[in-house]
Amino acid sequence: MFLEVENLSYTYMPETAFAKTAISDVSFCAEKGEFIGLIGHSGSGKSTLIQHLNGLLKPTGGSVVIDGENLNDKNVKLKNIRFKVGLVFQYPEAQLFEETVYKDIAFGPSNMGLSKEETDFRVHEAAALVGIKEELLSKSPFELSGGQKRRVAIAGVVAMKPEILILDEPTAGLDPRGRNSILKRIGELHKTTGMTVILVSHSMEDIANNVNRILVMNKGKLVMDGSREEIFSHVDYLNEIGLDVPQVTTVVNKLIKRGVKIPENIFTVEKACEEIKKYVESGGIKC
Amino acid sequence: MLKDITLGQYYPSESIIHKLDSRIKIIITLLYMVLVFLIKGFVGFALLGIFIVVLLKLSKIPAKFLLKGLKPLLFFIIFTVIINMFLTGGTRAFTFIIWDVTYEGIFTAIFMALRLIFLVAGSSFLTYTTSPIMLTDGMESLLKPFGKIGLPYHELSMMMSIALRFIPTLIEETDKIMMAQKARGADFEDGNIIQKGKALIPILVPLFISAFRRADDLATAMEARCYSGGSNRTKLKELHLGKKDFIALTIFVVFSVFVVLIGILNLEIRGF
Repeated sequence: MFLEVENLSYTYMPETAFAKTAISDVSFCAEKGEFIGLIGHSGSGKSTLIQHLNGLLKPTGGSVVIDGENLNDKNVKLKNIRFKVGLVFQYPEAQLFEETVYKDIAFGPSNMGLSKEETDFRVHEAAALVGIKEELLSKSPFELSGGQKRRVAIAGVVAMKPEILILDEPTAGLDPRGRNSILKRIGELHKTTGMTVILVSHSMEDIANNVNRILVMNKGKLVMDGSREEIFSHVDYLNEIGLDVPQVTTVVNKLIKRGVKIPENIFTVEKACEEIKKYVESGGIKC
Repeated sequence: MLKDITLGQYYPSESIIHKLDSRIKIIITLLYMVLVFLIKGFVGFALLGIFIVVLLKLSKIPAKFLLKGLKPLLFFIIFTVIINMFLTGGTRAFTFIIWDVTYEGIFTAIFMALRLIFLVAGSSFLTYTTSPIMLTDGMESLLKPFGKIGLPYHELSMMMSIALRFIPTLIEETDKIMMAQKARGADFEDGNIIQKGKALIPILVPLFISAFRRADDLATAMEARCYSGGSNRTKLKELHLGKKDFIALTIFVVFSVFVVLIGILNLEIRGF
């Protein structure tokens, strides 16, 4: 297993009046090349969980093992772990600080101690991967639009070529076009580089379109872990914990209830269109 | 982490001290500060120590919390101790390499250290037990008389409350930015002083940008709601002086007089 999380627990400000258990007893594993979606209501502990995966937070209980290295071990160099596990925070554009986009993307690679040529190569590669045009590289990151800033910030992490890429709500606050294009880029990134991607989101559509495995968190606990089909078949439970299935799935389920003969487990609009078209052409609907 | 700084924080609890009127607490704190400087003997400091312990028990604030708040002062205290020890004239006690250390120096050093510790420990109870809003309301109400001579007391207290309000936000923001830069391999612990200074740039630039943006947003939001300060504003929570406030003030005044008297008596005995 490339990533192993075992009985992980974390309490903020333990032993004070502010003590708050954010996650408790979370265990899961991930293989290389998986595309995992992490969903949960706000405050369910998603963000806390992912901050453990590169050693930014020290667990109050349990352990995280990356590529055979236990992060609790004092001899493990956390800095190296952070190059292996790239973490893109929520609203990552808030971390931009350099004079030019180029320099900002190069911050990670130069911290790795890479040569100038290698850094240069990686900056251009990462910029291309997230869809930042060459001419933007010499601009100040503060002149860019919100969506572009977000992409620059993601490129800053991608340029480190991590083996696991974790994105915390990468589409929050973006318009539909910006959202779709970022998700598309992430999907392509996963395909071309083969890195493990963990996508945190509470948009079921974002998750349904991309991932093949879903982890569900509720009140600090990992309550479900399974394939897309499996998770989205538990509509009632998801509703109960403040989540939902993709809107198109709700529509399809209602159609099925009305006697329309289309298969269950449809999570994307494209797939739904295709199936409904098939059904109509086969003469299912009489006008 | 930055969240561990407890100095100046509010510690929510349901204690008697928390319920006291903030104006009384401010007045007591001011008197306490004067008292700390009036004390000139160990007996007085011992009494102050007892006072702090009683305050801790009454306010239900863990001693650990208070001690943690004192930690940032350590360097400052050590600095004062050294300065006082070597730079006070008097009878020589011993010589440290080439510098003479005097008995008077040692005494002043210890007193200065105790004074600093008690000053901070005692006055930090004000912020530990009073919510920022109550604190600034209290200040505004106490400063009101000075409005007659042109002091913009309302604006001052408004600025105070906004500043206080944003301390935790900025700390949180700093923490977040630090984490984000750490995730990109930034190193804040290792290296010499120049490298450490340089390592701050990736934190400070985003922090300033977000602080300015927040200030801008807040100003817009206040304007959008037609905010205007001044004497005609009413408050959601009015301050009321009750019986317990007068009792608290009386107890403290009696205690102070007692401590000062003991100090004077003690000096007279030593004077023989």
